[in-house]
Amino acid sequence: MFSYILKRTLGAIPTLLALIIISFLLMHAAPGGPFTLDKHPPPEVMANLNAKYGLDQPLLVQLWRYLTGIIFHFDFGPSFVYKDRTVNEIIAQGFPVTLAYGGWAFVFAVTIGVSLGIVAAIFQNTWLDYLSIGTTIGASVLPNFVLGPILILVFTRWLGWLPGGGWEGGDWRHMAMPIIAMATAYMASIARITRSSMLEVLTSNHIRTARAKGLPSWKVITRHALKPALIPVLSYLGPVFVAMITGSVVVDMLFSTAGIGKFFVDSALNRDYAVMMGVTLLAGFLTIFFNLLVDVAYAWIDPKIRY
Amino acid sequence: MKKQLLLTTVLGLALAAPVLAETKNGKELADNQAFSLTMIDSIKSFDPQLISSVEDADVARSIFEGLMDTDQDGNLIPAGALSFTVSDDKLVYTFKLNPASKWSNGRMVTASDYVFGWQRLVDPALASEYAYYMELAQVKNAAKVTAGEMPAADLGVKAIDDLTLEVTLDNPIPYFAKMVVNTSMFPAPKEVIEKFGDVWTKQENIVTNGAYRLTQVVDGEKYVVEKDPNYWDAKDVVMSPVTYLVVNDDDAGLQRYLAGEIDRVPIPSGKYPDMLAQYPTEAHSYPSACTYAYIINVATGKGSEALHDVRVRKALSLAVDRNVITDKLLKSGQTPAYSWTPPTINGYSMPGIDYADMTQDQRNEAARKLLADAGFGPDKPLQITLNYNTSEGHKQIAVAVQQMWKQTLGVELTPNNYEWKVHTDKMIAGDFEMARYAWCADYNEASTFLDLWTSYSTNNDGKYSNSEYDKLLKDAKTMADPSANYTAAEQILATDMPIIPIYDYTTSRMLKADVIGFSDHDPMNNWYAKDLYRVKQ
Amino acid sequence: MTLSTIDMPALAKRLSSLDEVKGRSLWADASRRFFRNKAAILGLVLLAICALYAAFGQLIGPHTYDFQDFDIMGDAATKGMPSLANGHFFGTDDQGRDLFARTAMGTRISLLVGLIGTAISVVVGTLYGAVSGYVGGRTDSLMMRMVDILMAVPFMFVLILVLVMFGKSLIILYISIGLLSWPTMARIVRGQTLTLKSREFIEAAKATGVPTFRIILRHVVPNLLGIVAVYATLLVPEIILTESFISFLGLGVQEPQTSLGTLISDGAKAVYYNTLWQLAFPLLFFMMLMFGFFFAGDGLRDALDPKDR
Repeated sequence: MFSYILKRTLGAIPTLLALIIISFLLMHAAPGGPFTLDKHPPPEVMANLNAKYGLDQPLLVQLWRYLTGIIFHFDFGPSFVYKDRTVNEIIAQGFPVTLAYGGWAFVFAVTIGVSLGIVAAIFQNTWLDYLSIGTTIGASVLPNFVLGPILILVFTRWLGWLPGGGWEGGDWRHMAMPIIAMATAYMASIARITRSSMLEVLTSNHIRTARAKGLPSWKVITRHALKPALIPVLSYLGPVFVAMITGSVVVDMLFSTAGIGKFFVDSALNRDYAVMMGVTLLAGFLTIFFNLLVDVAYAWIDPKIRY
Repeated sequence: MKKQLLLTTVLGLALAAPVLAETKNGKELADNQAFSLTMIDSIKSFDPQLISSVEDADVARSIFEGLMDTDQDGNLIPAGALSFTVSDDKLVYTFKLNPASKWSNGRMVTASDYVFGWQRLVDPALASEYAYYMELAQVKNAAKVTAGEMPAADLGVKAIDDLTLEVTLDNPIPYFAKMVVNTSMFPAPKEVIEKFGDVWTKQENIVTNGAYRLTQVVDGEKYVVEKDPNYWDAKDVVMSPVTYLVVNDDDAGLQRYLAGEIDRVPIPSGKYPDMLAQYPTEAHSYPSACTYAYIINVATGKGSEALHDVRVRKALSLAVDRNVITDKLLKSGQTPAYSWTPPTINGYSMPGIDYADMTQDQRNEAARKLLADAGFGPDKPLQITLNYNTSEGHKQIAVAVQQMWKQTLGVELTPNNYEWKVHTDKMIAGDFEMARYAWCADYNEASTFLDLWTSYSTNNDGKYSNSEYDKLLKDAKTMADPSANYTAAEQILATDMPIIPIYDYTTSRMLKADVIGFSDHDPMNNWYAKDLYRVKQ
Repeated sequence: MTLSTIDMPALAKRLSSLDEVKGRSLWADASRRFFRNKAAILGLVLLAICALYAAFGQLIGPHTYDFQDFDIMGDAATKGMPSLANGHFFGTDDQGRDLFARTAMGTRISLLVGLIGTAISVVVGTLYGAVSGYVGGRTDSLMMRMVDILMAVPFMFVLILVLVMFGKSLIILYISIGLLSWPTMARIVRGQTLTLKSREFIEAAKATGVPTFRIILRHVVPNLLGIVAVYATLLVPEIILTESFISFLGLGVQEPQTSLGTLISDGAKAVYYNTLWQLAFPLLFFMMLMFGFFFAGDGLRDALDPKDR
């Protein structure tokens, strides 16, 4: 196992490198640049801008300078659009925000989703099954750009219990609505995948054997059924977790949280290459890390899985 | 007896003093003078010479100060400079600076600070997006310095002594004085910038000279400024602290305003009539010097061949029912635009444009006739495309115009939605038939609009070219009163119709009823936080 | 009864006259179980309603989807309300366009996008994940690294570039969306495959010399169908919502055409401004689609479960 983890970690380096190169080429291939503005800068101003940000260099030189900056100094460079901030600062300010509300949303979504999924599987085709799944679907049926305004209307405007936006250092009142909006989006899918996977396991041979041996039901479920049932759930949760902690554009914009989710879209729309590369690398690192975690978890759950 | 009189006088004054201090312009002031308003996005820069966004400029005007400010009517009033004189040939401006003006680190603001600020605006090393402003202001050698052909020291601005600033122009433009209100012409603290470099604008490093100091920065979330007691006019500054909150969604912002969280928010598009009906003392809408138009590509060999025919262009412009767009779609008091320059611009009078006064039925009639003359009609429909950048508002207007042209002229318009950069890129490359565009005034004078359609303008994407037009605008730079040239230029635009003006912008805001100090008739919307105060309700 | 009392010749005659016992195929079995599941039937009914509305809604209603009634336009809150009288059964949007017709068109386009996108995702993701999980070793490593990269690449740029290179077309939209969502499907399928491949029946197949690809197609994939069915039905609503975001960027459905996702996101602000019908009707059909796919999907999974006999 340890050598596997080591191999994967080393393998992450060429993966990230490939990610950087592909993303870099993609970005520069798109029409328009950070200084393609409504009020077109005259040629001499454009020349100065390109010189200052190194955009007048050949593409490979720019890529090289960028790579050396990251590898040797861990410096992602200055933002092309937010002139007073560097990419490192932007990520350092925005990521903890998204991690906070995304992390909590994940905890709630998984706890509620998995529990309801298990209940639904055990009591398959009874009213408990329909109720559990129905509740999660009911919560998820409103997309977050519909649920968000409703939350603001109810909690900020009518009840006045919660502030309608901002972050204030992570005060729980500012986190509550983003968490709700984020968690409900995934609850139904987590519950359904759990239910489906649980059902497959509950009807398998080794469970039948355990039951035949006379083990009490709950012991059968927790000891023998739960672990193998988790495999597809974990496969799904890997990307879901990354998605949640890289934030949602909709939630960030609606609640003005200053999280990092908004930057994924904004930096692309503004052609802010530096910020785009920074958040892409962050997402890439998290994806690789959590997919590795999930793969290790597979091996822990099912001892027959070998790499 | 005398002692008693003295005592009672002193006592009386002591008791009256608080009452006297708590009024402004005859109105009693409220106890709470905190104010909050919203910005759509984080601040891109606090550095006056790097600012290119209107909202960033709003914040900069509270913590920095330039030579002159504007009052509620858009007229110049003293600020960093007490007065100025103009030479007879109108090429040299001499500003007498305010000796009480200080930086927040205690040092006096001197003419060299202005020289340093102006020089760095055009310094190629700083690479400011707004560097062209110095050229627009006709300051001597601005273009050459920006291009790196001359050193910054050759820019036409000099410090005669600590309190005297001398500016030399290339052309005797009559509106130069108006241009110094822009944040890019603010002074800059040289020793601070040299010490801290790129991070001089961080809250712990920044040194400012305005009515407020920057006291709190939470990037992406909020910016708080508080009154600077050392400001030369601190006694008249009332509102403090002022909090700028970043709110990315206008509808959510409105809900927060109604819940009492924020004092001033933009009114979401189309909601002004409802807000005005429900909150008549809080909903405001006033003109803003920006024009919305469809630009037509008239470059030879590019764009749509049909659109190269002036009759087609005119027909299309006639058939747009602008009142439907302003009154039914936008609904915030926008006005239909028949000329490129908005009528609210100082010193500009709109020429009589024939179709501005017709009824829409008359216009439609004339349009059908013109289009038929050009050879198009229901049996030979005109097929054209319109590019617009992604936005709910642009989409609605494009679709409405598509309907109007279809119903009136049988024109088949395909509106193409492009993401902003792609849209702009296509315009610059000339890859469009018609494109949605808008232009906001850089300064309060008609040339900021009209210069766009000269053949030498970098913003003339449609490549419209008319030598008479060019001449009128070149000459305007040296005339004492160019308004006749501007009117004539607009007349040429109306005749050639290289653009279809649609409407003039407004700024619409919800503002708590007790806040005074925002002007509703300054087309540049140059408001100053130091003018604000809350009255007791 | 003893053997000697059985009337053998009569028995033999009876047996030979009976029809051959038909074996039950997987699909017949599954469909029988599916139709016994009440929730699944409900799901199918909801989907059928949506499909009918999507197909015929624009023909039934008196208004077209793109005509803007300039009279209603300025005042949609009062004049645009749903009414049987003026034929706007679902009311109008802020631009005076009939929502009954627009919702029908939106449902049709979104349904197509959702189904085609999901189909691409399922086919590509299942094959990729199954091959990667089964073959294992270096191939698996490489294939999964590519998936990692694809998951992290800034998809906005991919979309922008696709738009620039291929222009706007619905086909390109369908394909792009499908290609965006297959990596997660691949990961889920691979996870299941890793568990499956150590099972006895796989070992048996290997031992009898069945070629690798045959094993994957004939033995691995059918056992994955349950989880694939569930995830596929999750994908459809997700894709419908993703499409609205993509169209917002300029790729995909262009005005005046519309999609369910666009109608919902345009209508979302109606919550604040008393024009609730602009949100309610598109959202209703979206909910029907979601419930429909979920219940039918779970029913399908339950029906296909090889062990639930």
